[in-house]
Amino acid sequence: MTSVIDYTELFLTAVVYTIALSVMSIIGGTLVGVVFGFLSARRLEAPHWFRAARVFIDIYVRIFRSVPPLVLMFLLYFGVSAAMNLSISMTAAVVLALTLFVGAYQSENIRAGVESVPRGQAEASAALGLGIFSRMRYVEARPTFAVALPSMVGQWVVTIKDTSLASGIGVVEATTIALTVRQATGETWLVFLVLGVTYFLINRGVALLGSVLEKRISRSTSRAQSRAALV
Amino acid sequence: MLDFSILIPYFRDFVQALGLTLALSLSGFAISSVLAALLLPARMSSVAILRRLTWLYVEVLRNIPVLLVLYVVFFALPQIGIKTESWVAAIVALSFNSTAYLVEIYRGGLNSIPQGRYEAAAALNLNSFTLWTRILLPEALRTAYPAIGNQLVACVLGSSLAVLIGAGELTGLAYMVGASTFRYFETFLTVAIVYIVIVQVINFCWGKLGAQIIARNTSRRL
Amino acid sequence: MPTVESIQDAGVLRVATLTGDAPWVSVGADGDQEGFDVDLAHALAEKLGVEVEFTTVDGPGRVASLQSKKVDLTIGEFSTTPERDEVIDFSNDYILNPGQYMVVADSGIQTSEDLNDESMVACIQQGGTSTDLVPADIPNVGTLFLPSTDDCLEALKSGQAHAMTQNPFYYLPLMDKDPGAFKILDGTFGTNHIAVGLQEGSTELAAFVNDFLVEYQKAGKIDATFEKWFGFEMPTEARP
Repeated sequence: MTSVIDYTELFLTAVVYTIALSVMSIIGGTLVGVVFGFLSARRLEAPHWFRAARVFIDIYVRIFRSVPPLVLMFLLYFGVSAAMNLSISMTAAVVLALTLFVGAYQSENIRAGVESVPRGQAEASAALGLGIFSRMRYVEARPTFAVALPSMVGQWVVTIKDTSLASGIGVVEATTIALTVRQATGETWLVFLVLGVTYFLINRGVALLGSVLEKRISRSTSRAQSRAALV
Repeated sequence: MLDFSILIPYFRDFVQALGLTLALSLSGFAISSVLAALLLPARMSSVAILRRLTWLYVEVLRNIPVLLVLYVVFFALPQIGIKTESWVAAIVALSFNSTAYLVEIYRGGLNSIPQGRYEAAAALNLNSFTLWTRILLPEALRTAYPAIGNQLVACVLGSSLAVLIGAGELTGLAYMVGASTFRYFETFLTVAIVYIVIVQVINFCWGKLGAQIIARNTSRRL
Repeated sequence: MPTVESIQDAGVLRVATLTGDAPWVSVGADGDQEGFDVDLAHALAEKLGVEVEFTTVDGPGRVASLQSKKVDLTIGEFSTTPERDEVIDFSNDYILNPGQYMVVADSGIQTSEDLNDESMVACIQQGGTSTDLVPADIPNVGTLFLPSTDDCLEALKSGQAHAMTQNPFYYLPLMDKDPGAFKILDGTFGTNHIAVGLQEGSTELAAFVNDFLVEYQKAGKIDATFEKWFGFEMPTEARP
């Protein structure tokens, strides 16, 4: 029987692929969340077309929070390409599925963050004649991220875990290779243990990164507030 | 050309698979609700070892993929004599996973109760049973209620992984039907829509139920 | 539609294959695909004068990736069936593959009739031909559908299933590796005709593949690779 050690390099390569899938999906999901979250938040003094955007985004969020990411992957990989004559690579199917799924959750996180910004600030920025996008950038962004970041980091962890579903359509990432090694060596427990520890460490790393970001934001928020108080 | 009529012969199978999806997700959710309530005192205990052990459980389960938990239950546990069928393995894995999230949700609910409640209760001479059942738990439940609903939805979505250990729930059936009709788009789109409907119905009912619970609690207190 | 010329222009032959189906195909410790079918794909690419680019898929992915034109060919223990033939094309068969049941040696199961019982579970690879053949052969058996053949082996070892529903070519190397652990039941539940899958309408490429297969067989290469991967001489009943 082959030893588990022989597969170290192969497994590490697969872990790198898992990380790559995760990074792409996290970026995708966060971008969707930020754009949709800021556009769909209910706020005072917003332009009229925001209401139309909100209807659209609400539908998007309802739909994509309700479909299992594995089903989305199957649909995109097997379905869309066969039916629409459009070739979606496996990697693209995974990243797109996770972007759509996690994007819906991130959008809600960001929206809750924006809506937690005190009304007075909206009135003040309207009085100052700030356009909606300047208002997002200079007034809302900081408190929004201060509120939303913990749940956003939670979704990053979900994204990383869900890349394991890519094994279901045959993508050669960490879980797929773990199953290969299990088969070749018969070491079911050891292989699953290593795989579990790997995901655990990656996710703890991301959580740590998240808490560093949180500290930064809350520090800069309180600095900004004390500056504002001085003015 | 899209042709959804190829799915008609499978109608009964779809109804059955829908039943299994609901059974898996609802039992996973129910079991984890209870397990989480049992673990909660340990998680918030003043005994360090209990607190640390439950913390470890929560951290591990929240940081590894459910798929891995599923594989451990289905493929690894039998090696030490614990053998389960696909659907049982799916419920067990879902419950283990969901428990970790629910413990934290419950804890968040309790932690959100302001210290003043305890002081007020002490001033009113309420015994601790009344304090917990009448004041603290309802209030914690109200805070945690939406998050618990999200966890129920997570159980529904998570039940789809059972396809990978061969339980014939919705995703599993779609996979089989897709493979024998080669109509993947129609099949998976249909199943996706079924999931969307399930989740909307659950969200709606959960909201209604919540409104009722809160109304009852409020009226009782008045 | 890929043609010999378009493939040669591109310089790569895009082949869909399975992930865990040793010794037909599996991922080796170096991360590359290896196995009987992998050698066949490389030999075909050599005749074309191009490189092979493998895409790993699961059972149903073998048809879907041809339908969606992601690959030129599917080579991965791929059986011809009338249903598949409606949506894709096939080359001539290059090997015949009898379906047989394998059970754990000391399970007490002697014949396929012993399996024909509700308390028994046969593991079937999702999207494989056994999906229809096994219930036709032993209608009462319980079924467990898993994504790959290797998953089924794992299920058999762990007792989640009582029988596997593959072919002796998959079983024999396992029995070599682990003597006395498994047993193949007598009799077959149908013969799988293994061929190369092509996109629908690839007549010209199919002719090229068929010529290649004839050469591959005549030169005795198929026997050599068979013995290399399966560990025994290619039986005559496996020849189409």
